[in-house]
Amino acid sequence: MKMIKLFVKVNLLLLAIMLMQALPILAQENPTLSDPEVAHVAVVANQIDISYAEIAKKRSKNKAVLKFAETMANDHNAVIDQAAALAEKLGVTPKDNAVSQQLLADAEKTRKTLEASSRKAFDKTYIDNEVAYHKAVIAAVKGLLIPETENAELKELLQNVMPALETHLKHAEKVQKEFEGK
Amino acid sequence: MKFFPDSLAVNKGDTVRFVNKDLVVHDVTEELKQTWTSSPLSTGKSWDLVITQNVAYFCSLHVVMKGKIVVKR
Ligand SMILES: [Cu+2]
Repeated sequence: MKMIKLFVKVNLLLLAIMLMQALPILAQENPTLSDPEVAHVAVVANQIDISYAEIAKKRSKNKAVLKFAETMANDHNAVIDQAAALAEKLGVTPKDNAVSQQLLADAEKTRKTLEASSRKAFDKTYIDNEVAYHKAVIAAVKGLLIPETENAELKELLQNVMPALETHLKHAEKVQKEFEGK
Repeated sequence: MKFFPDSLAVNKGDTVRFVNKDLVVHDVTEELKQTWTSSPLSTGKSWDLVITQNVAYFCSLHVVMKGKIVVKR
């Protein structure tokens, strides 16, 4: 019985993640992540954007795209450092979970798309994904991670990251305009 | 993330100090032609600018972060 219940919960969570972009409110009804799991999701979400930035640094020749990618790598690394320092202070070991796994599976698909895109299409493919990814992460942090977090300091860290995510989104949208209609 | 305040009026010759109170690196760069820049400022670092004329500036690392300083007259 217990197994089945857990399975359903995980499924609901994944469904919520998928719906979150359209309906952030739905995610607030899933009390299923422990703080070590929230910390893990946060670290993975940051690592994913760094991995996209690394592909861009290899493949792009566009100055605005390269600068954006550099900023993404630096900022998301800074957030990971903060999260790691806090986890250590709190004695929390980030714990792998279904949400992290889903994020990584999706990221792997995106990585393949980015690697496979033609040199000409790369910049637009990368920046379009950055816009979509930051929107999804903002929805997930607001709608899932912050409400799920028990520890006040971890919650505060997540809240402190929000302005950076919002700025990254606006920055990505600005660069995206360059590629409009291409 | 933003410059706060992002609009400021000062007397000619005043020094404005920019302090990075964020958890990521920022800079302060002249907006139109990037004629000057603070270079990257990590958390807690500050940089001083003497105001001799109106300036529009931005963060070259987060290009949507902008601000301006005007000379009172
Ligand atoms: Cu900045």
